Amino acid sequence: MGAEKYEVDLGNLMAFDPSHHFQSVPSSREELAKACIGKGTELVQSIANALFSLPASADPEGPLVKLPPSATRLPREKHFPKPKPPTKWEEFAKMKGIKNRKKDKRVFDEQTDTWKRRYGYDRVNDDRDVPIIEAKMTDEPGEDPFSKRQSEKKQRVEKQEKNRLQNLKQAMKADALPSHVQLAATALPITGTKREVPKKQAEKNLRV
Amino acid sequence: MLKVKTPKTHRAKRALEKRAPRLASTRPLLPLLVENSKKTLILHGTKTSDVLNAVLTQIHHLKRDNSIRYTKRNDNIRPFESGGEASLEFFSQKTDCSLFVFGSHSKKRPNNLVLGRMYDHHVYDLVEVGVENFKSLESFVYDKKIAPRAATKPFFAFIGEGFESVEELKHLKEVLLDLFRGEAVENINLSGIDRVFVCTAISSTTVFMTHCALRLKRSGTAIPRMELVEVGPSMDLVVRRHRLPNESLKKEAMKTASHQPKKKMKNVHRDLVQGKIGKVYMPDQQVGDMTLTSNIKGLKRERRESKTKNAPKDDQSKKRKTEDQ
Repeated sequence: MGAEKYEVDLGNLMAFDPSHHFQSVPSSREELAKACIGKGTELVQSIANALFSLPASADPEGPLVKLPPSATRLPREKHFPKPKPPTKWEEFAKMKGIKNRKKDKRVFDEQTDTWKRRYGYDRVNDDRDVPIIEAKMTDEPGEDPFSKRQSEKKQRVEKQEKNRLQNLKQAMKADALPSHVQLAATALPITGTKREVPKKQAEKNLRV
Repeated sequence: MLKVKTPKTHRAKRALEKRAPRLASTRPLLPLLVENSKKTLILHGTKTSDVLNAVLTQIHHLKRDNSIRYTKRNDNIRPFESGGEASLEFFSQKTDCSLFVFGSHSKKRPNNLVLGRMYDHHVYDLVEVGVENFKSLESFVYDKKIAPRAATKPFFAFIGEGFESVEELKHLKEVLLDLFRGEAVENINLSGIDRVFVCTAISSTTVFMTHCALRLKRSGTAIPRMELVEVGPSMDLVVRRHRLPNESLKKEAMKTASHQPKKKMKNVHRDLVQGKIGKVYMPDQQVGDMTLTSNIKGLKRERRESKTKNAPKDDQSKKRKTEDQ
């Protein structure tokens, strides 16, 4: 009876009676509370009518009912996650049409005649497994080819790290850093290296 | 120079991921895609009366699962004044709370309660109410068996035309709903409904709010008869000041995942009569690259001859096929 005159929002289990108006507000608190609860019971009953007529699925804890999406729209807590800008490599690969191909994890190592990992521990083409590097005509005399190989590797790693930081900086500008990454200044600028007082202000100070 | 800071432990990483902004999703198996339920921060101003202390404790008690209560006095929080929200926003950032209840007591505004919401750790909107006729949880006598359990999803009953016609009350209604509704769930266990908030607009500024336990009685049908037992706390909320959200901020905050544009599917369109239609493009046939052996059927002389005689000439190199899906 009268279920239609209430606005029921099942998603929030809320009912609202916009038509109710107190003729005269009850003078005593008990009467007021009683009147409110009496009206509230009607409203709750109308929610229950709608709720219990939804299809329920059995569960050992009790019947489960799927609630419809809520009609009252409430604000979000935080903004939507922003899309990450493409890295320099991703941009380049897109321009050139390079696609990622799956590579085997295990590779045959010709130095040791065994199958080894492509990257990481016990990897293929490890520096320690190269016993001989053949001399070339272009080699400079007096240079250790083994240490040269090592330093080149080090440089490549450093370059990659630099690129990674650059890409993270770009992501930070777009406000799309992964949630667990923070970029922090390693050191504050040393006082004295930068001009502390803006030029205009300095002039003003001189006049006074 | 910048340094990349990442958490040292997995636990710390998980904690940070929990705070990150998420997409809302209706899929319950992907908790990372669902926006977490809002946490509440409960704060005290420079001075709070006994009544207000009780109100704040009991709101905290009602929202035990999802609220943080600070008991120190804060002299630099004045949510309605410019510059008075800096500290509040800092606390919100620190505790990851996006709802707050701030209590203060002064001569001008006795038993003052500021209810507010945050968006992205900035103040979104504010409602200021005065508390009158407060009746605490302890003052109600009832059968303790029916006492609502912690963190159950409450019902709401809003009574009175004031909630529609008066702007302040309309706003208060939304804030109260957001504050007490608990977790936004998709499925609800019907045996777990045991509480209701009844809010009645008595006049254009006053709302009588009470918290009741629900008792499900047999009615002879599948739908049980509801019975309300007042368990408290109950109080009158007199609306004082309020601040609605900024229009552009509101638009931003009200976005839902379903409003995001869908990715367009290539080569698929809908037809009124035929329904979903997809186009399939066949690549050119590379006839020249085919390996030839001596006994391919098509190359036998008699077949070749009969084919050229019967078949019409067909010079299409690219075939386009349209088919229904």
